[in-house]
Amino acid sequence: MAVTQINLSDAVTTLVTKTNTIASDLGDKALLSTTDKTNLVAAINEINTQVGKVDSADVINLITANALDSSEVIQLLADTTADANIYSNFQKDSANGIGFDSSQGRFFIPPNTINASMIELNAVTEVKIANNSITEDKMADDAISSVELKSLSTLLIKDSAGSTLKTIHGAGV
Amino acid sequence: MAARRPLYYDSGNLREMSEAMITSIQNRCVYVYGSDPSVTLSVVGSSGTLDSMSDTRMQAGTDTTDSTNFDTESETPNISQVTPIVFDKISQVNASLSAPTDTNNRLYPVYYDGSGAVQAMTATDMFDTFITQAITTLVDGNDRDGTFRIHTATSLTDHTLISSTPVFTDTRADVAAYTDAGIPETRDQPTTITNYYVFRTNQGTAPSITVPFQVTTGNDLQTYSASAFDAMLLAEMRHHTVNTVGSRITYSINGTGANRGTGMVDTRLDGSGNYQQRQDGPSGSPSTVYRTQEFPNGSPQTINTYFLKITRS
Repeated sequence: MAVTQINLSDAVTTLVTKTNTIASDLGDKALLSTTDKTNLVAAINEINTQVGKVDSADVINLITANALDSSEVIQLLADTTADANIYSNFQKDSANGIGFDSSQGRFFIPPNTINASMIELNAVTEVKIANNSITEDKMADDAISSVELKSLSTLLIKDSAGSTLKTIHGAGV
Repeated sequence: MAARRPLYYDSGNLREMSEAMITSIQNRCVYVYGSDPSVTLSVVGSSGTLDSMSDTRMQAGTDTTDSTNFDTESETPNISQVTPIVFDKISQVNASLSAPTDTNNRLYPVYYDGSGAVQAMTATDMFDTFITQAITTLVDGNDRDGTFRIHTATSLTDHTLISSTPVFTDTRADVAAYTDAGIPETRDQPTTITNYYVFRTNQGTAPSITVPFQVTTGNDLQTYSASAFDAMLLAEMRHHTVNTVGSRITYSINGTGANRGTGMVDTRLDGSGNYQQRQDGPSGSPSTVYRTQEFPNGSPQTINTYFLKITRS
């Protein structure tokens, strides 16, 4: 559509028509959905201010302000019609055990990827270990002393003079 | 007294022996002793270490001669006892032994002390648990392995003759040897009634036992080998039977203790004399000799009975 222009040679009726056309193209400012409806400049500036907000809090506020639920967010992120597919910017981090399912749009931890360096020191507490799951192979050689045995029972082997030759520890009942 | 209950291997467990098991080992002590007894008897020519025994018998009286008539019985010398024949042929020989050495105090079986310890028995424990009972068995008077006894023949089942020389012979006057026609008879005409010989009881059948644990040089518990256990028992038996006061096996003749075998009986005829006459020549002839003599007679009576005795002292 051509830009409406008023010429010096235009008749008054044409002037009226073109002015109304321009008015129609601008629209009714009362119908602005911006907060500031004073004029178009104010409204545009208000929008510009919102566009400049790009940190996570702003995004959240933006989403909240626009009443987007999670599915709508995912749909938004997955929209391939956008200039840049947001998913395409998500990357897996295999080195640190983070995978990315592009079809689902979600990160995940693949099986058998958490290595020793990923676990904080002293982070594996007793409750994280299943009952009856510590196998013999998991015990280091020469690692169990008598104090770890339940209801310690001790047997001494003595010579006939009563000198202890050997001490044998075992768990009691 | 400290009799113990040794431990043995029972299907992966340590277990205290039962009374029956301990008794079996005591019997095993007797058995092993029979293989090499430390107290033996030998038969010697004379001066044996055991008391001597005497054999007595009667002999005929001195004969009489007369040219006119027979001497009366009262005029004829009586029968008399020969000088006793002394038998002093049995000697006891004790092996010279020292107490077994309990190297590192782990020679003997182990027992549970009731307070959380498995401990090797001491020599005293060993004696109180096994040896003293075994010695009591050895001296109970029955035929026990390695002990000695008297018998009246030169062979005896399950026994070994020590010597074919009898250690005692009972003799009596041979009544049949004296005849009136033989006057003057040789005064002493004995006959052998019984010979007595020394035998050793052979080692019998090995009692089955449960072999206990001992402490090894590595301080572990291990069941003795059968041969090692027997050797240990034998050494203990041999030592105590010759060295330990109150447990030394001692043989004697009519001393204290139990009889070992047949009693050696000295018998003698109990008659007062059998007066006999013999006329040597026709009656009335000046050359005729009238002879009398008294011969042994009567029934045999036991004069003395000698027993080989065994005891612990």
